[in-house]
Amino acid sequence: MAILKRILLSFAIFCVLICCINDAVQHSLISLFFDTLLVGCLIALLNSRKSFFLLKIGFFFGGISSVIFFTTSIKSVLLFIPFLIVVFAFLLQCLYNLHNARRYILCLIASLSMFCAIRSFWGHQIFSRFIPDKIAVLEQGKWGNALSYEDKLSITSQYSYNLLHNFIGANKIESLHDISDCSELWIVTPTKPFTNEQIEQISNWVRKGGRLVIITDHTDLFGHTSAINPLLQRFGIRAQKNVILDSSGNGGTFSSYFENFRGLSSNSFIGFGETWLHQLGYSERTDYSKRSFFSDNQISDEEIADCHSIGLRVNHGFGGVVLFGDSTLLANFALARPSAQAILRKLINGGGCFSCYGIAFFACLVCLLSCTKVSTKLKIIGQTFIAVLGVTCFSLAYTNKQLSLDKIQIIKVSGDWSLVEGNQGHLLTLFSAAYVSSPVFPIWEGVSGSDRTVTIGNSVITEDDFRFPKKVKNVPFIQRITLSPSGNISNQLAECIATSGFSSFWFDEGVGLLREQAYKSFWLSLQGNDNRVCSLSVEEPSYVNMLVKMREREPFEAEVPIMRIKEDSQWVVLGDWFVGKYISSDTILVRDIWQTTSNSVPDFYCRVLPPSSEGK
Amino acid sequence: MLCGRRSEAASYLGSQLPLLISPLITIPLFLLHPIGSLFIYGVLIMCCHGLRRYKFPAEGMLTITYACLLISLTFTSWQLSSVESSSIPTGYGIGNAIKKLTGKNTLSNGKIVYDNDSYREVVNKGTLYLDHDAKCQWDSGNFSQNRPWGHNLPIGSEIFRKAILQDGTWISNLGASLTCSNSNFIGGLFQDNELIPLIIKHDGELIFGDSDAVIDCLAPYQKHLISYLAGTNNKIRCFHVGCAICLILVYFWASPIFIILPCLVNFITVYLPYQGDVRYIGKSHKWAHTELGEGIVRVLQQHGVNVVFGNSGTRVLVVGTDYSASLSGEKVVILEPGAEIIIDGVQYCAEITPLGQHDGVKDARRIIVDGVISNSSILYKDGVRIIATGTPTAQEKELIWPF
Repeated sequence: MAILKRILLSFAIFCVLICCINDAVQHSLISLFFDTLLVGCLIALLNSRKSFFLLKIGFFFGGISSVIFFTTSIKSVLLFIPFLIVVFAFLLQCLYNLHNARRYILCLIASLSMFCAIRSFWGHQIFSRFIPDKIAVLEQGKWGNALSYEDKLSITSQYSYNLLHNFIGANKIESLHDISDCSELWIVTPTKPFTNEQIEQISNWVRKGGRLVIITDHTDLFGHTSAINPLLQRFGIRAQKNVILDSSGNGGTFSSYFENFRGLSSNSFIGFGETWLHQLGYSERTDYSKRSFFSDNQISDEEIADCHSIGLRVNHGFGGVVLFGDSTLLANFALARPSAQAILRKLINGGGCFSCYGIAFFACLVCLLSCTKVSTKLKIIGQTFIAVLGVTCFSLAYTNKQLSLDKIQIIKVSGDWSLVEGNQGHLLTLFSAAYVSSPVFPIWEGVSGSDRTVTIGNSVITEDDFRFPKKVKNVPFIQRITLSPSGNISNQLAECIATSGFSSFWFDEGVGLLREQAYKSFWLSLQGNDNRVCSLSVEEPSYVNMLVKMREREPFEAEVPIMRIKEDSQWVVLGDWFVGKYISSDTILVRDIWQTTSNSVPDFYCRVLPPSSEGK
Repeated sequence: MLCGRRSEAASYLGSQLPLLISPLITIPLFLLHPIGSLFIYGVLIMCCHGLRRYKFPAEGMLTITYACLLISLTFTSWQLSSVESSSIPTGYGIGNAIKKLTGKNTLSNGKIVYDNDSYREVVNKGTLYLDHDAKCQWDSGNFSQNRPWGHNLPIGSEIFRKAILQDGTWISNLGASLTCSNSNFIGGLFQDNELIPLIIKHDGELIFGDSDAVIDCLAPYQKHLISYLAGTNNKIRCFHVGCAICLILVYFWASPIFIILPCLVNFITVYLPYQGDVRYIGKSHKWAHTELGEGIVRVLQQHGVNVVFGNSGTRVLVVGTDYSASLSGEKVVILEPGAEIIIDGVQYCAEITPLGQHDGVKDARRIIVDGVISNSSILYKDGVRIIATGTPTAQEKELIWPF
């Protein structure tokens, strides 16, 4: 029994330590104080030695923490947790030994573990089971250029959230008068501040059992963090105006307790809640004088390395608030990514069913019972009952809501997530374009493989399918623009598909006709429609005198072969496969983003010169 | 020492002896490497335990030797030369800031070597400052410091490490990795399991692997290292002499007071007044390349104004985000968003909402006066100019330094 008691105490200490780390990540110092006190109580019960052993250990930890804190740039509160825990344990043990205040320590454990129960999200998750689902989305202000969905690959359609609305099965509401019969309200990056009445209305609705899901983004973009913080303040939480970078200066890995996801750029949260998603990285500040309010996006000593909470949830009455800090991951172009879909599934299930506070609460109760002076038989019955109650709560809190896929056609995908995410994903752009280019939307199943293949429907695609021979063009641009096109359009389309994997940011004119067609061909071919290459054709070239203007270069005249694309005569091919578009009757714009990778060239434009009168 | 682990403590001190005396004599590089130090530590521990049975006071000898050498090294200094060149852009010269930081005149026989196409022999009569692509007999290639710089481990004597620690980082982006086969190692960095020498001494003259740390616009951020090398850092001297004395005494008299004393000395020296031009109150990342308040000195140096940080006699006060300060004779106060200052009982605070360019201030914020939001980003009160901005370094020079 003594061994069992020690095992139970050790398990409870471990659970509460996780809660301490959670509190430190959220910068919730009051919670951290109470949780370290709770661990101290448990250690005091565990350690029956009457010596200064605990105090020495405490000072040892304190010394190491102080040295690290003051001599390095690591300024995390996490460093002092071991010191606090052991000192508390020593003090409580002194109390226990000197005044036999065992029952007071047990009362302290009971009340502190109730504090854990209050913070656990299980309460709200269990309550919400009995409320019929009705999800609403409130648009509070316009988010940048994210207007309604458009049927082309452009920045506006890329950054729309129409797909998100479909996947969560939400109805758009215009005002808060309609939320009373909703079970869930989603607010995505609001740019219009909330009035006091709106804050009061939302707060009351949450208190009565509603679930508020708030999606934010990095660096107070368009002032959305400033707009949402007064509302979040009501729940004791706050969105930080920062962006969390990994060591390479890019967005990094988002982690829950058991899984990792590939993220983009998130902000972090602090406050009295429970972290369901965190990121190890560097917090970079907002710089309002720069584009997208990013600072220099480079890791320096200005950034704070820490564990940051990028997914937070908190109880409020019978309801709860769930936060996530990377709205870009839920935008149209990113929802085809497996990590985005996995995080969205977690979001619609309230951040997942694992609650460290809930588990810590039940573990402490079991320990409490084992330390009381009741008969062994009663102890066993009581502990069994508590364990069963804990498992029941976990089961009730566990929900397995799926994405709402009624309104779109889907195709099932599985395989190696790294081919579709991150900077080395060969299929990155193809999947980013899926929301426009594919008649069916890819929905991921299962966990990530590691064999560098992706199965889309019945087709298996491997990394080798994208080993396109790298063309090295040694001919200077000034000559290439005058050459007749080499190869045919099929080769160009094949190259567009195979050398996909570049940045997913489109311009207003999109990725160009060639790339758009290439991506469509790719997705059609997976439906069994063997139009993998070519439903574009070009006319015969005609030679035109043009003035070519390029940045940081003197303009020059050249006789340029132009081929119009038959399917859309506004689009043309100049020289050796430079894709351009007529922007006026005599001017053709050529953008780098429209070209194949081997034809990469800085943006330039050509103006048709009037025919020369020489020789007439 | 206090816990009775004398052998371990003395062996650790012994393992640091090569690093301590390396500025004085040539020491093989492998003994300066952390692995080398670990090796020496292991050997000394065994020796201490072995010699104990013969009642040989090995621990005492090591401790006292270390303490005496520490005192001696603390009072060692070197000459830092300035570099005369008309082609160097403002703020990137070497000499003006060093003179101001050290209070000593410099000889103008320094030389800067960088960006060479081919190998060349360099003869130095004064301090030699190398940089990337130096390609001379003193370097073995380029060296790029991993970011964040403050996380890299400085290797050198206790005094060198303390100086780098107080500066926060060794300011070096891309420089030269020095070879020190016939020279004395003074300091370096441990990166990617390699020891990179960055400051060496040859024939009495210093050779730097990167001139970044000593150029006018960045030298104020490397104040402690520069003043240690020049022998004018009294804080470091006090601290290390105190530590050395404590080391000697603790061997004979084990008292917990010897833990508190060095901490007390360190704490007191932080608040010793030191003359300067710009006082910065805020979350100091010790990072020169920021556009926030900490970067003000760099920007002013780049405008040709030779300023340094200080906490006494300053003319410009910069208050960082969410910090508060009180005036101490400054004539210009720059408030970051959320920062506040109290002047004659009146509280001035910078709002957090960005305004763009306003009142001639870039990335301006409104100033809140005693809780009332004014429409201004710049106010004057009894000859003191108060500016509220999110980017202090973006301002015009005349606005932040009207002197």
